[in-house]
Amino acid sequence: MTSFVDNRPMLVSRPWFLAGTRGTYLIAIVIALFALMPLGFVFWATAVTGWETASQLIFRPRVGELMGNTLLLVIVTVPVTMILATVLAWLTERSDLPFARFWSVLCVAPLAIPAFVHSYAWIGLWPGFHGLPAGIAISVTAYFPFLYLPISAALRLLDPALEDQAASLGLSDAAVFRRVVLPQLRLSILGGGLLVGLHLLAEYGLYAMIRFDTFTTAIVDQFQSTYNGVAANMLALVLVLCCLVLLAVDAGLRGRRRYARIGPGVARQVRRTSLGAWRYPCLLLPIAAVFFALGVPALTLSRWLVAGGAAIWRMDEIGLALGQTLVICLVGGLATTAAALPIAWLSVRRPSRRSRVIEGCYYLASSMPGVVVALALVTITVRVALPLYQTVATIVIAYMIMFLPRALISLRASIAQVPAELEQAAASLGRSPARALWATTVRLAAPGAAAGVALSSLGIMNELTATQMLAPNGTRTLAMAFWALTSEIDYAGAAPYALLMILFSLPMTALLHHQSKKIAGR
Amino acid sequence: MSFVEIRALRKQFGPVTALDGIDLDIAGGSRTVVVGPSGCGKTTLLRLIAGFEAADAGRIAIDGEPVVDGAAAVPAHKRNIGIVAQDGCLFPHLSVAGNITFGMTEDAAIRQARAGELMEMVGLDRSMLTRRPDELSGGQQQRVALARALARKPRLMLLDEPFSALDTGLRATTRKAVGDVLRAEGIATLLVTHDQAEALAFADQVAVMRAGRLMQFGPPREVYGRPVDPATAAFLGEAIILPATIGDGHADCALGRLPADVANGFAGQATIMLRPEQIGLVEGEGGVRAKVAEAGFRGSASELRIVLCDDQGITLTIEVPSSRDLPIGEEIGLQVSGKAHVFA
Ligand SMILES: Nc1ncnc2c1ncn2[C@@H]1O[C@H](COP(=O)(O)OP(=O)(O)OP(=O)(O)O)[C@@H](O)[C@H]1O
Ligand SMILES: [Mg+2]
Repeated sequence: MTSFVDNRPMLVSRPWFLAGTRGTYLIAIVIALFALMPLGFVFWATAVTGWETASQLIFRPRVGELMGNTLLLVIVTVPVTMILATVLAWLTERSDLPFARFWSVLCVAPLAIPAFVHSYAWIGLWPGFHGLPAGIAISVTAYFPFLYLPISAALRLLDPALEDQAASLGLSDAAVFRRVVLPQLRLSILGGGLLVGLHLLAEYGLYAMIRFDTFTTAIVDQFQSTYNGVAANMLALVLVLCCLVLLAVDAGLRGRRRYARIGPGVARQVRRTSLGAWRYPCLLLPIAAVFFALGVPALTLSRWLVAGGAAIWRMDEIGLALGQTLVICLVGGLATTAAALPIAWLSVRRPSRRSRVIEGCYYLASSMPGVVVALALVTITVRVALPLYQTVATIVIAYMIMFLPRALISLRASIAQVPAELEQAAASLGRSPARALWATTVRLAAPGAAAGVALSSLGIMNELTATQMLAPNGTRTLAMAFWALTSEIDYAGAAPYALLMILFSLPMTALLHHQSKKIAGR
Repeated sequence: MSFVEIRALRKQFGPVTALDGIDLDIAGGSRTVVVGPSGCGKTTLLRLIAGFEAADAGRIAIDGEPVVDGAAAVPAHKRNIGIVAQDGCLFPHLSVAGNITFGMTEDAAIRQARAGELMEMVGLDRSMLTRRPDELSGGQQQRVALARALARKPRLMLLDEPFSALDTGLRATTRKAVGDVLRAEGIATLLVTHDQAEALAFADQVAVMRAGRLMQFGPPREVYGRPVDPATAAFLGEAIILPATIGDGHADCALGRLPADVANGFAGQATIMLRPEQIGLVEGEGGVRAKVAEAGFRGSASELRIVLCDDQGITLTIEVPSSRDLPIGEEIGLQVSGKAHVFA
């Protein structure tokens, strides 16, 4: 009798797939509220400032000029980066380009180079290169890997049976690419494009070094020169509006499309398209991209390192900076990915208005320049939580706010590629909801999570402004040291720090590349 | 000359020989079914015909026009061959209408009208045209995939286990609907299936493959009744295989002296095959005596395993109407109708 009762399936009031959704929402919302703190701070500061002062500070020629710069930068850079990354991804993943594997590694490697080191490298070679053209050129070089990585991963995950099917329906290779491949890459391209756009809006070091004024550089300048937050806050307000526009454009283009495979079965291995006579001419594109993204930094760095000799290697200072940087990166990366997990799962598995709103909050929050995040956290901790002022906890929160979308994009993409049916299949094999989730989606999405940690750690290693303002007293990360030295025009002295940032970013970049391959099961 | 002509077609994947010299002829407008154990190369054959994979050697000609000749091949998009795969393979980013009109080159209005016609042809409601593929059942997806393949009026239709994901009832109706549409359009069809009943019901010609080779090719009755070897016989249904002595147009075996389909006066030892439905029961004391060893109820029929009284080493599986209730141990009399098939 007892055994009969024990064997009976337990009755639960809610279907299993709804259990846990509420708790997940709650966590996601709490994190979103934290993330929105800096934004709230900007609006609060605006309200305190009052409309009259605010409009005086916003509607002036200087702001118009900044607006023009920022808009031109985004409007040119994002599409160029999208096209470049898509073509490179197709060439390395789906064509018989010579040494395709090699090029695909080299297209990811620039991720290891902080954006401001790119401009340091360019002005090292071409000291007169300034303004918008320089801003666009360096941004494309610095940011195309952010798009290359998700697009090449998505290309590997496409089901080649769909392309075969399209060919049997009379489509030439070019038409198959346009009508079957490209639509399926849409989400990766848009997601990556949004990320790049947000970076363009938030980056400081890259543009400060080439003296190209964007809203972000102007805010930092304002803040540093006057310590009077009001003008900076008003500029930040305009910047927030730019981010809103970017998010709206992205949401409008994205739509609500599912991209898991429908049918059963495992995708066949893809075939590579033969480039024929174009095989060698096509090499020019990866060669050019890699020359600017890797060759230029390598040239400048080696020049300064040779010029500086042994004198620039002050090991005690360098060792301390390195240790502090690594600890901060690891803690921050793990915390950021953990914070992204609830919303990543919700936005794929329970997509709703609510999950999109929460997700939008994270994007919006992360698009705030580091200086605004830092300013907000400084003000808030000083006013309401003084014990947290200049502690590791505060700086980790700042990183979470800034880098959550990096973790979110890789997590979401890999969760979306795991068909929901797998979770259900695992449940039908007698797993509890949590274990079903663990056995299927979490396992299969683990590469995405690892990529999330790596991507956000990379971001943290290269982060400068917020780190400078929030770091506990006595902290000096590699990026802080690098920036301090270049500000003193000690380009040779800064070179070891740049080299170390690159060297320590490389394993994470390699991991990222490897994991993005493993998602595709190879 | 036949509509599709396949000659000495070979394909290797590294060390695996997927196709080991296939010769096959398909008549215009006919239905050919390819059967064979898993991994014998059926899908590979279809993919070569469709142009998704390059052959190592051999020729394929369609309507007299060579599409594969050794290494030279017409690309898939110029062959005008429709294919429906096991999972339907609908484009997930397009609606049902978008899927069906995908390969059409006519004006939008004509395409839309034709999409509606095709939906009706495959037995689906026009209102489904606006749905997404993942809002359809498996059977509906298969029908949309068929409509999409039909939209371009292909010269040849390739079906790779298109019904295997469907349940039995839906499978039969979908198969019939698909078969009727293809017949009405006069499109030659090549169907791959694991299901022997499906194969025999659908086919004008059955092709049996094993390990990359074509073992037998002929009308279903012929292949079922006169298989080339015991393995082929077993693949197409239950078979009773017995040793026998052949002579004088007859076979002497454990079931007595049976008329055999032996040609040109062969005499000597051979293996013969009978189908279970050839064996009936006789009332009373006559016939070959046997005892019931196991009985399985199958609804309209019962499946009996019986042991011959004269030769305890021989057990047979036969079917009897289930209205006859035969307990285990009961002695019965057997009678064979039709001819025994002698394996050469
Ligand atoms: N792309 C490939 N790479 C390597 N081997 C392959 C490939 N495709 C098929 N094979 C091998 O070729 C052989 C024939 O495969 P094929 O898919 O044609 O079998 P099949 O008859 O369709 O089997 P099933 O009934 O299970 O679908 C198998 O041994 C298979 O392992
Ligand atoms: Mg197959």
